Amino acid sequence: MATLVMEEQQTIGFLRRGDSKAWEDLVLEYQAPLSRYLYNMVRDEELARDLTQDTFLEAYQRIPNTQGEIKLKPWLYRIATNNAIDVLRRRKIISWLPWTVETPIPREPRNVEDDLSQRESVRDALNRLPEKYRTILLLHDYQGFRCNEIGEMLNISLDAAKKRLARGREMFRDVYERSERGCVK
Amino acid sequence: MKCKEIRWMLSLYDSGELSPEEQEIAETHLASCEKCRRELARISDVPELIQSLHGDTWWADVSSSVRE
Repeated sequence: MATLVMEEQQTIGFLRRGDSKAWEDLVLEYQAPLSRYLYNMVRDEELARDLTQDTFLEAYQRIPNTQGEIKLKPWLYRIATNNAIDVLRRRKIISWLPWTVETPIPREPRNVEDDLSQRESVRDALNRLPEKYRTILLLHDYQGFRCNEIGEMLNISLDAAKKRLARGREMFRDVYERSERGCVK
Repeated sequence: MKCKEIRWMLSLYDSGELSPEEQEIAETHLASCEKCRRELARISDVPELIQSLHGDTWWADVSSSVRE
């Protein structure tokens, strides 16, 4: 573990000095997961690609000014998240739904043919959540960040991150069920 | 503890995000509350649903476009 931390800090040192090989490795490692994450945030392929490039560009510009130890992955995702949120707010494409509770219906087992439509329903339900809940669901349940890391990324306490995640999951489940019933337009 | 007070813990049950004390509170409550057990069953597959997005493949060509 200590070795990994040392290796990462060594990598960060190379990045701070603008080492081209270090930057190439960074882009290769993170471009696909960042693009997937951003696509699920903004649901626009071109925009996700642009935001991915913007993230690396901003990281390149900012990293020389960072000091001490930083955790590279949460740091990159914080840049990506903030950029995505800025764009969404500017474009005003965030959908807001009232928080409603309805009686759940039993779920039927799905087969392989349902996968595509299920993913579309999941994406649609995510897109209907307020951005702060969509963000935390994507960071935690999709990208695998822990609540303590997310707290650092979003500048909120661990307790706030946990409760936001819990609330987000509840809201997602409600919207997803409404969507499956055809109640959401 | 009342259902309303522990509801947020249900969403994070067995996720590794609850402290040992919170996990114990949730377990104790679930053992005696049918309503919350139903709610847990309803909500427990949310992470799996969101992970299903990993099946998307549109970004297969992202690598080349980002590097250009």
